[in-house]
Amino acid sequence: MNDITAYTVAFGLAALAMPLISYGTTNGIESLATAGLVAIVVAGVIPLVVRYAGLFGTDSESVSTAD
Amino acid sequence: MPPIDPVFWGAAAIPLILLMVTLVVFRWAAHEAASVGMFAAILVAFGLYQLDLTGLAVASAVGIWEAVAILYIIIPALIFYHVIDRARGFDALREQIKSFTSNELFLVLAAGWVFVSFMQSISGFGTPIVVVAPILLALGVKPVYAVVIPLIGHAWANTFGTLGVAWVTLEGIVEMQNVLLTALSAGVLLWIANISAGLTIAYIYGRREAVSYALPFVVVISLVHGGGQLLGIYFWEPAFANFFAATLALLTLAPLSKLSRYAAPADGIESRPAMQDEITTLGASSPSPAVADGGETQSDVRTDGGTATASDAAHAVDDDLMSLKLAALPFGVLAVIAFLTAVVEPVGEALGTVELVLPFPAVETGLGVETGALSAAGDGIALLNYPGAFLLVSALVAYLVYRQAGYYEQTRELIDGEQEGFLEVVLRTAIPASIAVVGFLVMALVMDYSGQTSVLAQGLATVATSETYGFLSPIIGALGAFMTSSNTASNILFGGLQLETALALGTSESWILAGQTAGGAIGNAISPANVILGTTAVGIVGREGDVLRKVIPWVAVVCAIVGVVIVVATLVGFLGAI
Repeated sequence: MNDITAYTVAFGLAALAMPLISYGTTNGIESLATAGLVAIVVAGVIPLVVRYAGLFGTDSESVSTAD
Repeated sequence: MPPIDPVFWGAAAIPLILLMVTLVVFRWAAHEAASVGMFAAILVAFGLYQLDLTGLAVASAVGIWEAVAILYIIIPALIFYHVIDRARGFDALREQIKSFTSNELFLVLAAGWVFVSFMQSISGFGTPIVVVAPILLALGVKPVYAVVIPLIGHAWANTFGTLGVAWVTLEGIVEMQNVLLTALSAGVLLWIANISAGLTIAYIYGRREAVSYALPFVVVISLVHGGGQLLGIYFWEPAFANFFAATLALLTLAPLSKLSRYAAPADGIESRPAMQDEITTLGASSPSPAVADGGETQSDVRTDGGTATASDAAHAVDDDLMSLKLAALPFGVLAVIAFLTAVVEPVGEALGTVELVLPFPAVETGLGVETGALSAAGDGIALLNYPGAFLLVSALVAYLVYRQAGYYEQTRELIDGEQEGFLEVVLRTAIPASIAVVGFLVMALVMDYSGQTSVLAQGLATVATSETYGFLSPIIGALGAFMTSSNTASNILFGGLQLETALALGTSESWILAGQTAGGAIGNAISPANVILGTTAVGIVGREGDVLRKVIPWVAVVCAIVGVVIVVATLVGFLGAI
């Protein structure tokens, strides 16, 4: 999986979390809100995983170009 | 409310410190640093500020919702950029602009200070950055500086720009004793930001020699910008003051370009650190527009083996470039739409009826910090009356005109059809930028919902005296702009706090509120969303830390100067400040 695919997954998770949390919290369905929060946490972890996967030499390439 | 003590204050500062260290010191990409800041904010909110899991979920989701509003500018801005770039519009713009004057410094100041201010006066929300950064790139400015310059150049115009939305908001949320005096005080402070922007941009271009060479230009334009804005505030209406001044400055460029000093290439400027080596000829050996300062080309940062963009290949031939009118068409359409929707109320109101709203409940932390529900009108995104929509319409108009005129076909022939897909190139840039924006805003909203942001500001206010608070007020305003990427949101967040503190300390409320909104304007230059908009527009996503390293010192120095001016003004009673 290259980093753009990974970021697309992260973005998809974040986008999915929004309606889950909105519907869950406004209708009292806590499990939906929790699932949404988990999705956000996973989405937040992905950029860090991609960064360190790149450093440890897996096939993931970072777009960071700091010189 | 959470206690205002060193433990709570220090904990609230952790996410910001980690964000700055990873971005600026370690030079991580924005999407990586944003994740670190986000998790730190979540841990502090949950562990110390007693925001429960439901509250965290709501705060995070509202952060993503706020990010959608920014992405609705970033993605249309990328489409706007590539529609022009693939027709070689930026090459044409550069060549045609150079026909007015071959003076690089004049062109850099004209685009990065005067034109970006004009764009801010009518549009805002980051649009000036995404429009002007590629123009500077086309003029031969290195990509990092092509982002740095408009960030600095547009900041002063934030309060009274965008037809005064930040000012009108501040006026609405606090009860000012003297509205005109506060507006004039803000105008004076923003004038300082304006003149320092002009001088700094000249310095960035060519160090001290460029500053002394550009001095007459900077003085004239700053008189028009700062003085014009003050006149507009006093004689007309604060909401139109910036538009008046910025338009006047744009018109002033014509006579300035005729002066012998600026009609020919600048003499005596040996070092041009912000510029690529050669910009005067479009030769095959010219660098790609996205050659970073000492860094990689745009193609180097690709991860999918993408092929050439229009500009990569278009340097080969400069015949058959479009006219200036055609090249400027998308910008003209954008300016007209933004102006009409802002000034002609029925048009703005009609377009504003189509709104996207996602409801979220109110949240209260265990320490009693309450945040209201999101559901009413005003919390949504006006899908049609929004800079993203204006950019899409402008891009569509440009696409149809350029396609009809055959410019896309011409570019394809030039590069033998080896062109990366349009959607592919837009998404490749937009996805990492989107992740960064989401991370920043989740961090900011979690800090806001849990009370961390308020504790940071109130902690600063607590340690101040009536004499020194003036120095801190722009810093608090800048903090608000950094956290929210908006002068308006900063004023909403901290306007009340600043007024209450000023009254409690018995210092001038006019100057303190002026410091708040001026700080908010200046802080916009380092707001993550604006920085990402810029890096995305010029194809250097991941180099946000490099941009911040160059902009943060300017913001710090200008905030300090503005702070000192407020302290002195309150002490001597300037503009009735007692």
